[in-house]
Amino acid sequence: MVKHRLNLFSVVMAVILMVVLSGCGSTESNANEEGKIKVAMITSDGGLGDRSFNDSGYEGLKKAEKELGIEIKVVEPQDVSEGEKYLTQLAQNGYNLVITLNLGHEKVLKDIATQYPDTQFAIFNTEVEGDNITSVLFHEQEGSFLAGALAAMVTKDEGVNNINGDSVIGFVGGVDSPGINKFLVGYKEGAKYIDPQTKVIVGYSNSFADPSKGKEIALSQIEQKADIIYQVAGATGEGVMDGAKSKNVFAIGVDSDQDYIAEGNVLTSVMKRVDIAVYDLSKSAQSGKYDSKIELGLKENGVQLSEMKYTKDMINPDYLSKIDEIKEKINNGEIKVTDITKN
Amino acid sequence: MNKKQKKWLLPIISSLIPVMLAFIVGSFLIMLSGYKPLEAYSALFSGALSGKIAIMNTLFATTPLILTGLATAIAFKANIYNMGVEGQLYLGAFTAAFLGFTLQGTPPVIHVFICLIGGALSGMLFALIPAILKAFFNVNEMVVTLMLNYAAILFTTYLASFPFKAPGASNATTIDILPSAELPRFFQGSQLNGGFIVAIGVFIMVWFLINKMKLGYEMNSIGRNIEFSEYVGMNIAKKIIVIMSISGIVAGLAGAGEILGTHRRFVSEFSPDYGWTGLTIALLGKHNPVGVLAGALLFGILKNGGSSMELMVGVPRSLIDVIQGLIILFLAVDFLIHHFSLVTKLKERFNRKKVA
Repeated sequence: MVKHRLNLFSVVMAVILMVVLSGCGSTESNANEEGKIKVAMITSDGGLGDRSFNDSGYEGLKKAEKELGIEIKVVEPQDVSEGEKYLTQLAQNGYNLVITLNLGHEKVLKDIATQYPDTQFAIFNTEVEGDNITSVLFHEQEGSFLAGALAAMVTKDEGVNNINGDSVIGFVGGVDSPGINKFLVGYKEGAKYIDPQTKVIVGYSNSFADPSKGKEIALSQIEQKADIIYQVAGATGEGVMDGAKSKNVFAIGVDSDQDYIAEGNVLTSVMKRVDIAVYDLSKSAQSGKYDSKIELGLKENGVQLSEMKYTKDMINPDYLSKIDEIKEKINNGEIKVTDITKN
Repeated sequence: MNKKQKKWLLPIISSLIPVMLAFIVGSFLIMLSGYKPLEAYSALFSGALSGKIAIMNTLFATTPLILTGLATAIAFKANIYNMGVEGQLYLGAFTAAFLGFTLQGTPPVIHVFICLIGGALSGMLFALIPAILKAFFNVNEMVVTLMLNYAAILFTTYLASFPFKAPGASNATTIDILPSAELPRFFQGSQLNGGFIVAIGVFIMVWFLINKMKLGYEMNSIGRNIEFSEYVGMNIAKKIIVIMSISGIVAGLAGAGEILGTHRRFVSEFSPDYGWTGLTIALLGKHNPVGVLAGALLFGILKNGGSSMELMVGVPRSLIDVIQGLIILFLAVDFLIHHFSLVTKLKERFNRKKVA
């Protein structure tokens, strides 16, 4: 009986709730306070809390909110098919700029952008043409070049961690695709720039979310004498760093500063400053002048190596000055790094 | 209340209770995270139901869930635990995409049908593996179907990453299907498409199968007492294979519909756990087709309204996941109550007291 009464009670409660709810269906206000600039960001798969790409973008947006006084919004779609709804509704709700970090939206973005000519859209890591679309591209190959050069120098230093004297380094990619191989080619070129004899072992995990697979590949590469492994594989990369830690060699992190994930075993990280890009985009939302394409490389500080907080003192300081020298040469065009996504 | 009414009403009430409890507990959680529950829920429901476009988008979100819910319910009704709907959906999806981009020059309507049939057949073939293992070797279908999900998801990811990867794509997707294979949209501005008609068609067929056909009766009988059914002369092994095949067909259609109507190409790991949500819906709908339809609609409202809630009020989307989780939790409680027949025991005690 007690059970019965409870059930009845909850039913009544719920009915009351529903009635109250249905009564206030139209309270949403679309007021745009005094023409404040509104910027929205759509996260890519994984959403906020990924310690990488999406979080970095959110940092930039929060900074823009504080410093530029704009109104911001971050939304996290559940799956790629929802992109259309999110892009459309944000445009309808009067956002001046709608940024999507999900390159899976490239197909729908083109149509939606023509339907909402007064809204500016931005997409990352892929190029979409359109009058009101900004494509943001990073020169990942340049950061990877520096990482490759550094790796080729450090890999000969016996005595630092468990480094062997062989000129063998490794690379673990998420999938065998132009987007990932862009990093690989830069890394290889950087390594060969220091020593043409450097051997680069390449492996793909075919997943961006499989740390145990990442560790497995890393261990097998370490077995083949690789002692510095660059990972471009999302969460799979955490396994690569774990593998490097277990054998006390080095991994190289990607996208954000991942040096802290395995202190002393992540040589450096090739950072993609999504935050800077998002901040800059918000700034152009204020002025209303947008570029159709933003390319961020070493020169623009859009791509850079981490400060190497835990590893700086482990390696020969000459290497770092050599890296600065190479960076200078890339910036003034003396060294050309191949971008395989361009012909 | 007379007996007939009771038979109808009880399952409805016992399905509504977990949902309502979830909303009530959810409202406390919304309050705890610093938002107003009323505002959030009203954004949820108005986002899902106010206006033509909102309703169409809700039906769009409901479409795959109707199919995965039915696929699960058909098997569960006969006490066959097909936990492999997600995997069967992926194979159906890839097959539909493959036929969609290879069969050049096929007339539009026929092309769509070929893709749907291909998707359905591959879902069926994949479901036959656990069916045969169960029917002839008495291997537990729950384990096999669960594990085969991984095989299907990884296999299709492989196909979309290597042999059929669209040139130049930066993620694992195939090329677009041909326009002749697309399930058309009904209205500019909403993603609702012909897949919905497919889902409703399948719903009618499944309703007919379960309520009006001999097989439906047999499913029910096997579900209630497998030994008895065998004793009265049913060929259980054959029935298991037939039931699993139908379940696989419906799951395959769910995947095919998503590809032909929504994505228009195969995108690896495109499903936000449609198969698993379908399982919840089947349990919520008590394996009854009408119940499944209602459950799918509820989850469609949650999905479409959830994104509106996030877009309009700024309440994080994850709260919808919490509500879905709570529904599952309260369903489990409901299941326990039924399983150990707590209600009947209490009633008996109560009645005894009254008599005394």
